[in-house]
Amino acid sequence: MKQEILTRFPWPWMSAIALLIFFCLFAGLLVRVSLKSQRPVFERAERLPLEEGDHT
Amino acid sequence: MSNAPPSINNETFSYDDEIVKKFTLATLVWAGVAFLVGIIIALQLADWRFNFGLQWLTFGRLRPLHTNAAIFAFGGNAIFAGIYYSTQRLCKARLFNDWLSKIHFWGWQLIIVSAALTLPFGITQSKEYAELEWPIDIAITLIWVVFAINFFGTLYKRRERHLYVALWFYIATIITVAVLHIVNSIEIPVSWYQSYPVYAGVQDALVQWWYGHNAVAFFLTTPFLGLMYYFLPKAANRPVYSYRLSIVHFWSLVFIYIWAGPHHLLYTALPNWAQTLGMVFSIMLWAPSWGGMINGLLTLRGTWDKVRTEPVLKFMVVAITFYGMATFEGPLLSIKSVSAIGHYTDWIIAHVHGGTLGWNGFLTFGMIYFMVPKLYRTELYSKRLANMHFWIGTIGMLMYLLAIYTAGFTQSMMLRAIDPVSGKLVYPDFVETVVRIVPLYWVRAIGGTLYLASFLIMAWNVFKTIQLAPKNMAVETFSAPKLAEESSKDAKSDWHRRLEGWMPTFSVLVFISIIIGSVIEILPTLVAHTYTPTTSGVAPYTSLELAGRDIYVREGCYTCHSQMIRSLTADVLRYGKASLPEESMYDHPFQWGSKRTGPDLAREGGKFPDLWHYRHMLDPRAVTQNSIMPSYGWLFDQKTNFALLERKFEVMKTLGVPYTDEQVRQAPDDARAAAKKIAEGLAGDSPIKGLEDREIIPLIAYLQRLGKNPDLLNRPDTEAAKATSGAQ
Repeated sequence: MKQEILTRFPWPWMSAIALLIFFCLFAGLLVRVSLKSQRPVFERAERLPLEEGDHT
Repeated sequence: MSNAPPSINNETFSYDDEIVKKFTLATLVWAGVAFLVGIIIALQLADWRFNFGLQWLTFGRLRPLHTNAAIFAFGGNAIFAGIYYSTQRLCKARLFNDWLSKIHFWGWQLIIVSAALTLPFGITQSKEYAELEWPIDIAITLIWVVFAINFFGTLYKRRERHLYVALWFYIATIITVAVLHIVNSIEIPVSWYQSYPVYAGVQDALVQWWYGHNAVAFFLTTPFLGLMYYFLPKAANRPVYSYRLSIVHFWSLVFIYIWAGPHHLLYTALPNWAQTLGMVFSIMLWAPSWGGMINGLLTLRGTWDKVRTEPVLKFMVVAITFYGMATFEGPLLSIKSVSAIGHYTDWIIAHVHGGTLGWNGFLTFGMIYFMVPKLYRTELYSKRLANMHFWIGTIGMLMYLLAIYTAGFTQSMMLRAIDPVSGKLVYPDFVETVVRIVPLYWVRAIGGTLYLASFLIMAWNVFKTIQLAPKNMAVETFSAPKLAEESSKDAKSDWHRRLEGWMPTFSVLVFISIIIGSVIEILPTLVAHTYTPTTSGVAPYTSLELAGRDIYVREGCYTCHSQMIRSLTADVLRYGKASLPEESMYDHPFQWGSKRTGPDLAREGGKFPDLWHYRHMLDPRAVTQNSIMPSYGWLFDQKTNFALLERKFEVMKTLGVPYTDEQVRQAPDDARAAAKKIAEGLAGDSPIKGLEDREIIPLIAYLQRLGKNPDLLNRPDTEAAKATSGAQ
């Protein structure tokens, strides 16, 4: 029975790899955004909603 | 914003605010419809007479209309208005193409009108939030592509290199909704008004809730988060609290959200590994969700005094607070032992309404109060009315939520109550638990009415504001420098900044983020049949049963009745042996349901004689005192469409249901013969002539078939049974 097989479907390694990928990328992302050198970039970016282009 | 004259390198341009106005007005119109239909169905649950004995006004048909109107009509128009307003300003560019904007607007309204016309007529696929039939599915796909071209085209011609975080959320929305809609809508048409999905049973359940959960995630969460990241800083006139946090928030949310769908199927016949996976990722969602909420609330640091006086901020603060509450509660409900209490009860209804009324509703109201005066270059007509809207809406919402949380807990506790001495259910009759919560349904209806009343105050306020607009408004023009080639120094400066500049690459990475979880969860279920033998203790439906099943789907019976006995002691004691995956293997679409306003029907077959069902459908209170189910008198007048059964069998055969060619050809005649037999059994008790042609007969045949798989149920426990049993 196909659903019977599915119920026992043993692919936990796929989830483990996915979690590993996520945590690696997450850690990399955290390190990267925490670098002091990024501050000017973020300061510029966070002000974007407050600009709309100059009125003519 | 300055009034400086344009420099020689500047380009002048204007924003297309007409399309924003159109979507804003459409938001208001459809919000009224969605809320009104919500109140009607709330009243129907409080008193069945509000079904008015009309087939197109029954709860089963109006409930999908309410959810579709709230999500896609109200929510959809709101996000399109907000996205078009903010994208133009964040890109310092007019929308890519005015005609595409118009096609998008009118096409979307046409889709909504089609939904409003077809759902009350019972034209439905019965897959929650994806009920619309195949021609409308195709229209949705086309209009979504138009929207995508218009949006990405605008990004392409932008005058600001950096893509602000709000735009990332919009990109994730556009890509993911397209994937979800297309995968979940693969179906084979039977006629212009009907189709069968290619998936069945467990597969269909998994794909549907992958879609259903992520429709909430990527239609009601990510675009609204994008709107929050744009409109909250605008309204507070200060930048977002932490841009760093917004980057972490975005990527974590987009990657994790897509995995969470199986938490809608805990303790069901879904494979355990998928249930656990869904639960784990749902719990992980706590972190990014609250990261977003904290980022929103802390944006108001140092400016909380404005919240007292500015209606826009008031609505947004409450919206973000509700986002926090809903995203705390969602992972909580995903924990198996909590799901065992909450699932199938009004707790879930309270949870989703906290999200939609509080988060989506209030954020939209705040956004409209912000945009309308700017779009019409005037002041808001009345802050006092806006404050009145806020307080009446909040009180209405709290009344609704308190009543329905209480109803959910009360009914769940009653349904689970087991006498410790006898080991039997304390409340064996399902209707006992319903009667107890009906007063709370009345409170819910009053709360909903207050929410609608507060909305009408807003509609009036917006109407009066528009009237204050100056006549003959000239088109506003803006100027900004053309986007220059990025210098090599800039290009090396930061990888994420460069990535944001490469819109196609960014979009592909978003696609990869959402596809990893989708593939890992769904693919094993979809490809399993290629390497596993098919032996069956389950016979396919007869043609009469299939005709009855289609009537069951048409009437939206799944909105109140599940067909999934979970492996929980109370479920097994009340309904019988836990459902097995095989039992729904020919169910295109599955009918597991998500809410029990009435009892589960998975083992309904043979519980009562045909006459009981006949009388029950004619007048439920004749056989179940205090039932709140509507009467289905039209099933005794309308004739069964036997002729279409051959085509239906043909499609089912294409989908893998083991019918022979002979069975396909004979389907209409077989159905007529079986109907005649049932009608003869009822002849002594029915005054109706020609009963064998009426729709009540196939429906009885279908109900009597449910759970009748003796070859499967009587054999020693299979591996599947073991895996899904072990009652908790």
